[in-house]
Amino acid sequence: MFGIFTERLIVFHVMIIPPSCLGGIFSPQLPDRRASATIAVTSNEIIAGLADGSQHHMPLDHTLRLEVGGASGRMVMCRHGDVMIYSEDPHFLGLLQACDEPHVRSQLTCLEANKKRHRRMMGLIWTSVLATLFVLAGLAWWSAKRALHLAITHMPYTVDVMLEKSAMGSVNAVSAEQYPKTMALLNSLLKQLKPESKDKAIQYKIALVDSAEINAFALPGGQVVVFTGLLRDMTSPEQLAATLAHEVSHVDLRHGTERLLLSMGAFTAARILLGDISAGADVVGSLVTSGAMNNYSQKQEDEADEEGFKHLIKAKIDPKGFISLFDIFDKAMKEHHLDKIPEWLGTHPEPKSRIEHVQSLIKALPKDMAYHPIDVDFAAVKLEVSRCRGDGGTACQREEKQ
Amino acid sequence: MKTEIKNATSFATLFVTLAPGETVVAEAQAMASRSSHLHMTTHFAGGLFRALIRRFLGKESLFVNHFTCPQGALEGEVVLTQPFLGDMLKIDLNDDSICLQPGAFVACGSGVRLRVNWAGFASFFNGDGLFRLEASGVGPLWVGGFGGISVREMDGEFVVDSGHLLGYAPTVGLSMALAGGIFSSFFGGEGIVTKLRGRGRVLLQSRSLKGMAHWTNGYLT
Repeated sequence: MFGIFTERLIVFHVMIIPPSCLGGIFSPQLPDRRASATIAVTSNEIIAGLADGSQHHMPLDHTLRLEVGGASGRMVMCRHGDVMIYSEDPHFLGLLQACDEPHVRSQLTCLEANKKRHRRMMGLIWTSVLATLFVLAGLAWWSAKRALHLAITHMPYTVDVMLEKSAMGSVNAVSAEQYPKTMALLNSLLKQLKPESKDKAIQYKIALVDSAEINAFALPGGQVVVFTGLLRDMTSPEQLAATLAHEVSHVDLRHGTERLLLSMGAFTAARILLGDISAGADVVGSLVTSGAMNNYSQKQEDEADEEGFKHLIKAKIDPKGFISLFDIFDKAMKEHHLDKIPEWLGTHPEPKSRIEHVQSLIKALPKDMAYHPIDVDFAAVKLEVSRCRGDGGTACQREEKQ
Repeated sequence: MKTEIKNATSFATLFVTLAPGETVVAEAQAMASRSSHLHMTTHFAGGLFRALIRRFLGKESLFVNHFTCPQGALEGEVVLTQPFLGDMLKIDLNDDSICLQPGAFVACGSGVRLRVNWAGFASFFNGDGLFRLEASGVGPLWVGGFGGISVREMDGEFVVDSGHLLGYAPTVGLSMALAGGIFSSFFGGEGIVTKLRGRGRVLLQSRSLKGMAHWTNGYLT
């Protein structure tokens, strides 16, 4: 056993197999003039081993011509007379480096230089293409925003009213008789704020929704919706005035219409991306539309804060209501762990940054600013809303009957 | 697998008879008819990502259909066609590969692998997209052309008018060139052509779909 093993070891030692890669050969001696082959390179020749076991040898002499090209641009082709051996294997050029022939070595140096030049040129082309795409995308984004702004400016306000009517169909507002004190306060604050409509079609009005959710929103057309959950957490009527001033500003600035137009753009983009998968596109479209109805962007929220602040100053209402209102939001977010969401991912700016923004606006005001206190029994309003349990008004009605 | 191309050269149709256990892979929508007992399964052409590239950038179908004759069943037949008039050609791949222009692939044996590769800007500016289909492996491959198909063995440089190139060996490179001087290129009607360089097989189609569309448009106004 030991003898046989030693003998085999000797055989392995004698048969030095040169490193190889996959490729092919063109030769008039072959039946089909071409064949795929395993290519090996020694110091003085290239060996193409065919599937039938035969071998073709190409001497590495001064008549050998090297080329790089082919469909991929990476095919290395070695020509010797009418025979060509080729391989796309990236190791093939490395194998040829073993050659001692100066003529071949000078060609290899030349190929390497060409390869580097080609790589540099491709890098330049790709950088130019990417830079152009980047500039074009920026231009497209800027043009889209300009076009959107123009579209909103020229869109009749009747569209806002139409959108408001269709959206209000899904809002379950309570009747004024159920919450007389709350509704009276809301209407009187709205009257005090005196929002000026840019068009006759815009009529500011308030609806109250019995819900535990701490929320309020405005619809295009002038409809402001306040949730009882928000009122329950408030401690002063100035906070409610700040809420209304903020929401009225969304209507003034036509943020709802803007969002809807944007969502239509996103819907179209989703359809194009998804191609003929129309069912998927419909789902995406409905999600985008519902999202736009409920959320404004952070930029729009900042704009509404700033515009709302102006409304409060004009109505001589203390704008500090904004600060304590954002404190309520901050507490609510912490309770629900929403403060862990990064600001750039949320639809609203962080309450702390909104507080800082309002504080900077207050600082810029003249020091002798005087405000009219809001004359209302806020405790009675709070008592009225606290009787209901945020179930759409039915619980409240039951309690009143009892 | 027994195959026959009938109705050539204008209306070439590929008749494939599959023995039990045999499979033929065909371009989506290529099937004209088939025996009812053959199994048809649909696959992404070369995986999801590559299929998406093939569909959106290579102007090819997202899917390929595999027709298989079940074990223990009788032989079955599937008839495959191409959407336009013209000839078909069978190429036997023997551990080698061939690059195909968009729309050229009709069918192949189960040993042939389809891949999507970067074709370069020359292909893009010639109207053939940034990506090309490459068939490699062992087995038969059927390609379809608009009009007749001719095979040419080239060594060196060769010029083809855009739209007449159907396929080429991977040892052949493509570049874009003017057909002649600036005046003769644009006023002679040839415009930009494809310059092939290298050694290997080139497949050409006798008619150009773009040329046909251009000619037809003249009568539609």
